[in-house]
Amino acid sequence: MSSPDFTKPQRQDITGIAVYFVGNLWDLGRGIIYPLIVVLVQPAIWWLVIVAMVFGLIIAAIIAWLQYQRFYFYISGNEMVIHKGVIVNERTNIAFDRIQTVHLRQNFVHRLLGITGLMIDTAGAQEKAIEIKALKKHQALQLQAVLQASTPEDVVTAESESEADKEAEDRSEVLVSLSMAQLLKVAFTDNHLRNGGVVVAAIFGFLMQYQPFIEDYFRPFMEWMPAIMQTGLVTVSMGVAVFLLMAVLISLIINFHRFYDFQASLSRDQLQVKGGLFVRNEYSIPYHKIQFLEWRTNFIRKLMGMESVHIFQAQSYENEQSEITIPACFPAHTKRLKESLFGIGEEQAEDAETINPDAYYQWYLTYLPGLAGIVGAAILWWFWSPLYAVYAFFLYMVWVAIHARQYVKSVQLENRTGLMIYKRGWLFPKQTIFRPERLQAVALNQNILQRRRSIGHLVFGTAAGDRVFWFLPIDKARALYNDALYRVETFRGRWI
Amino acid sequence: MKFTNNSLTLEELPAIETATFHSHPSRYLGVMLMNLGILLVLTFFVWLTFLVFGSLQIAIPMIAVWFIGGGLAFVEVIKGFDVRGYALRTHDISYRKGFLWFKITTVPFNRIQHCEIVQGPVAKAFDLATLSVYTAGGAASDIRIGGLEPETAKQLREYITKVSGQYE
Repeated sequence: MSSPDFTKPQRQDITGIAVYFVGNLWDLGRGIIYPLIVVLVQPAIWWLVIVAMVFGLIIAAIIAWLQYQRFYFYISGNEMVIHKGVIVNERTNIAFDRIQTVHLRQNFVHRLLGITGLMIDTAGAQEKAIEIKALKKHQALQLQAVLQASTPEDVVTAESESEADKEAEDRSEVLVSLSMAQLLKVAFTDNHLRNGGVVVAAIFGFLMQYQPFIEDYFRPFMEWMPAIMQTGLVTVSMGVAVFLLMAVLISLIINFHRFYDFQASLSRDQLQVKGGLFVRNEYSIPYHKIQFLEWRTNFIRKLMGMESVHIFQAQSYENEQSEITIPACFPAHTKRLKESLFGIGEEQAEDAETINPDAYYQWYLTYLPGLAGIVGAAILWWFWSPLYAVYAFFLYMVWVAIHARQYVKSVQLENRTGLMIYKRGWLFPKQTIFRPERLQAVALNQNILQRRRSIGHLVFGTAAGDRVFWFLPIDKARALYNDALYRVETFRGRWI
Repeated sequence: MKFTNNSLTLEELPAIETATFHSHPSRYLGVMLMNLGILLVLTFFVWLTFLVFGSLQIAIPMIAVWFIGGGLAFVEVIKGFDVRGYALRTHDISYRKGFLWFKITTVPFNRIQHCEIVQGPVAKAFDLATLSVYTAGGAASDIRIGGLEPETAKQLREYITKVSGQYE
């Protein structure tokens, strides 16, 4: 297959019309959900719905064709130029040095048609990532290589997709490749309460919008509620069990959607990550664009020696793709990743300075939840029983005190030459590693009470978001502040 | 030339605490007090609406919050004005503000993406301008210096643009 000449205007693949059509149908569906619910309540006007749907299909098809016709792109000097727009013609110029990430994205329509989408994200932009919706895979890989090239000599000159893939494979080392068993391990050890809670909240939020139309259907159930509540602990326990089962199922779905057929590889100068079931993403992240890495785990995964690594790259304000996750990292993977990206091993560096937060942090983590506990106990006292309120408050405060002590003990900032390692958490441990020379800004926050206690919060701003070091002794915070500025201002390499 | 490579301790590094901070013209305090006054009047009318059409159970806590919040905001504006200032050094620009909630932010010149001057209608009436300095780090890493003399803002912008351009 010949290499396309990207300096000449290029159209997307013709099958892009289908991608646009499906996308338009999806947008149309989201737009008519409210009137559809109204119609469900009044079946007499069903014929109107059918007519509207047929009309919508025709409009969606016409717009899809126009979107395909009006979209083209080319490279002009050091910029990527994109023309698009159905009614108003838009021209977007993207300078190469503003491009942060370029990755391939395939949903089920792309896979059916054997094509891929290309997502281009720029740092600090006020808009979402720019998408080229339909390219043949070899064309997308070549364009990705061109956009990520730091010099013209870096551009991949392979003439076919298979040759480009083979060359990439020969140069890279597989770091993590998830088998089905490992994927199930990741899914079953996820934070089910969080996943279940988020989905339940989203469903309730969605249904509440249509409350006037659906409350008639739920009225009989609401009339049974007092009788159900009077059965007491048995009902509550059954409800909790049902919720937990649903939460585990939701975790399974989320993890299969994100990490099906997952692989992460290290090459000489970039990290490649690909995976996904319904939407498959393929990232190639140059090392110099990685702002920081964060290791996270929970108490179950910690027992198995498993962590997930979150890679943070420079992001636009609207982009949600700036954090990429490598699940199921075991100590050997973590060691390899740290060696490749930071040149560090597990041993403590001789020049490392370890900083712990002020003891006031423990008090803060106790009295603030304590205030919330008092409010909760007051509610229990009023609506249920004073005895239960006292018991619940006592147990809650014991837990808060233990958590505060253990959490503050776990917080540690290690300041090495060229690196900072920030550790915290005992139930859900986290470790963030970053190079201070990649920082964008440094800030110090103090309220009037903290000033009297000589403590403050240090904020490190990166192109991938901020990280805050809470309740540091003020002399240490100021020293770190000045040290970080010194490292940024004397650094002459590429930071983004 | 003899090659040297001396050790540095953290104490020897330039300290932001010793930088010279330039304060704002006094009429900027008038602008901030005027903005605060407008906000308090508007929220007072909201409270009045609750009092007339709503219930005392909501209105009483609301007025308490109004008094406490307004008082704290007033103290913050008055006492915080003396704290406000910007510092220009060879390699970075800093801005500090706040009395009850103090914050100092420093942006190195080699991280600045661009900067701009904005002059809204109120600022124009008081002959003041705002200089905004943007990085790739998003809003939390940007600096916004309001209440500058327009000429000062212009000079700062030109200097920052010139120096930060040397790093591209």
